[in-house]
Amino acid sequence: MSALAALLRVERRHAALAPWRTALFGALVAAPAATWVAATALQRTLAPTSEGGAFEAVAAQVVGGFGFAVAALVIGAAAAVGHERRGHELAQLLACGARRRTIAAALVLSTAVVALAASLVGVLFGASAAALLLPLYDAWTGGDHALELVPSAFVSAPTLGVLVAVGAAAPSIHRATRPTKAPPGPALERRERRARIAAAVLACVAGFALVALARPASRASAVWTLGSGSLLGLVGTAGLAGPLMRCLARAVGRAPLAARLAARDAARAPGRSSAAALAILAGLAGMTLIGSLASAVERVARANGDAPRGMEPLLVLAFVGASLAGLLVVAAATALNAVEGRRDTWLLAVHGAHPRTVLAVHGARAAHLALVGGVLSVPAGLLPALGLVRLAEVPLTFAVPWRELSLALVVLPALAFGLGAALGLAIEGSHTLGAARRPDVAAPSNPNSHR
Amino acid sequence: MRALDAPVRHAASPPSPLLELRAVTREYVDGAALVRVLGPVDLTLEPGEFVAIMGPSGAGKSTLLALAGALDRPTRGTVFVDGVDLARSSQSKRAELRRRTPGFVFQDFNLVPGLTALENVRLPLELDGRARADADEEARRALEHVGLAALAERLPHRLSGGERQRVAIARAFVGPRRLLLADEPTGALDSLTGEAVMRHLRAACDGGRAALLVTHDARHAAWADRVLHLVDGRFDGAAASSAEVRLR
Repeated sequence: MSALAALLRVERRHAALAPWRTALFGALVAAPAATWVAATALQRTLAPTSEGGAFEAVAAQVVGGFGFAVAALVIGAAAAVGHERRGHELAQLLACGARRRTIAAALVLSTAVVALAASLVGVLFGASAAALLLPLYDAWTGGDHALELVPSAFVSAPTLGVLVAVGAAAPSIHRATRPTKAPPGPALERRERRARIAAAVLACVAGFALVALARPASRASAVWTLGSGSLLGLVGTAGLAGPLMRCLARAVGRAPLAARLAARDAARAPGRSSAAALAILAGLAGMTLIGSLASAVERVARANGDAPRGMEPLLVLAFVGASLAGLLVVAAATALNAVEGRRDTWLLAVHGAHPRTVLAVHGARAAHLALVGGVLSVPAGLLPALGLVRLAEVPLTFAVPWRELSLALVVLPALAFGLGAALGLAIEGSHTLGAARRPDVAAPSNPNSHR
Repeated sequence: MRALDAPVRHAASPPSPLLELRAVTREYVDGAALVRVLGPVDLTLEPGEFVAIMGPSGAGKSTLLALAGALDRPTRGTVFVDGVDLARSSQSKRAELRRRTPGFVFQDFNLVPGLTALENVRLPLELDGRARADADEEARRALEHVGLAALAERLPHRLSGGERQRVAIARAFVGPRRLLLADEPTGALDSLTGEAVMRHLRAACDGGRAALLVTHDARHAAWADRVLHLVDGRFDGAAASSAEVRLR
């Protein structure tokens, strides 16, 4: 017990030393908890006066569940990077006599504690957001509703938050604390890689089949069918991030230096780049999902000869929220990537790269990850939208949300390029490009060093 | 790239120094304190010369290399690299200089991990805007000279330490580069591989290039024409010439 307490103290110090990292992790758990509480409260409040009450109930639960699934993906990827970076520290703890199981227990416990605290904050935030949004909605639509919170959501959101965080971090904790094994060798590595691709494709196909072919008989079965189909599709799509980046890395043989480095770096450090790409995928998938629903609603309104009202108010709010979240995710992932890839740009400067070339490399890296995330977000976001449209009582027609797709596939990568270059400028320094500082101080650590 | 031991052609006029440091001082601001890490020092490096710098950690060796390689500018004094005054040159001009005159070899290799051996060697030429085919050919020749032509398409993580360092040497001398700046290039290598690396450097200098080597190992310093001792930011003596120890 004392060993566990000592290791928990280490974890507490670790969290205190990098408060931004703890805050980021907390935000990843708090966001879906808040969405869950707000979505269930608004659904219960608005359902009695809504034409499509059952549809909204399913939509709220699917969107809330989708949020947790997305959070699990991002937490899993971020935990993989975090634990990989702490490999040396964990080895030191082992060398000092700590048992692997005790270290794993300390990591799981600290994850659970942060997730619980963050979920509770998320619950409060979600309830407050619902209370703030309802008057806006009523003012917009001329309605008069009294907010009805759902008590069960106050328990289910933190429970789900802790389970999702611990479950997502568990594989990387297991990897970080297991005994060192000899590398599998190229043949076995290739086989494992193929198996992972096959599993990802299978998950995508199964997800699409569930959503597109299933005929749910009741609301409960609709939630389960649509939820599990969307989840499978999301997990499968996320599993394709690594193979897609490897394909792109192979395809850029004769591309300009910046694009070549961006694609190769992403494929070479799958832990880091997948985390960033999945974070972007998550943000943009939410945007695509909500955009698709809005397009379907608009299309029906037009078909019925209603004056074009634009999106429904709640959808507007959700879409703006999802778009902002997508942009924030792109910014955060870009910043992480720019900092992590500083050594390579420093090397380019050492060998005489023009400052513009260095900034182009920063920009290309950000754009590459945004593009990979954007491409994968299309099926991941369209799938639940397709299911929700099929289940709606009001007959809705699925419409491809071109506006959101162009945002995800063109505008955001272009924005990410500019953002990456700007961050590169901030990181490298406008005059020194990092190389002009003392090299022994300025040069970031070499990941490929033998030492 | 020419063969490392092939003579480098010079103009008819007497060769100017590849590197010249005059009363150079480098200071850094550390919080409220001003820390002098180097200087004042004077140093001249002619084509064909191989100079080793020894000294304890923190003596200013790496700072000296950074100044010699146009990675940094002095607080006071002047640094001429291939006749170009660093204090008067813009950031772009210094980048251009780094592409064409000095090549670096570091202790931990510092190959760009996403580029193959060939692409790493080709990098300075590519950054300099050379045509792909031309740059490819020159980079392949450079790899041949260090005995790595067969491994041209390998990524750095698939190469051994000695192979990586040879790639770094090929990159340091590819194209028109004539000045090699090596910061503990054998520090991460076994003694046999380290000796092979020193042989490559010696051959390059015998062919008319120049090298400035920072090392802690007296056996490796023995390959140089001159050995200078740097202590507390100053050469052990008033000037480089008076501190030199002739070993060859």
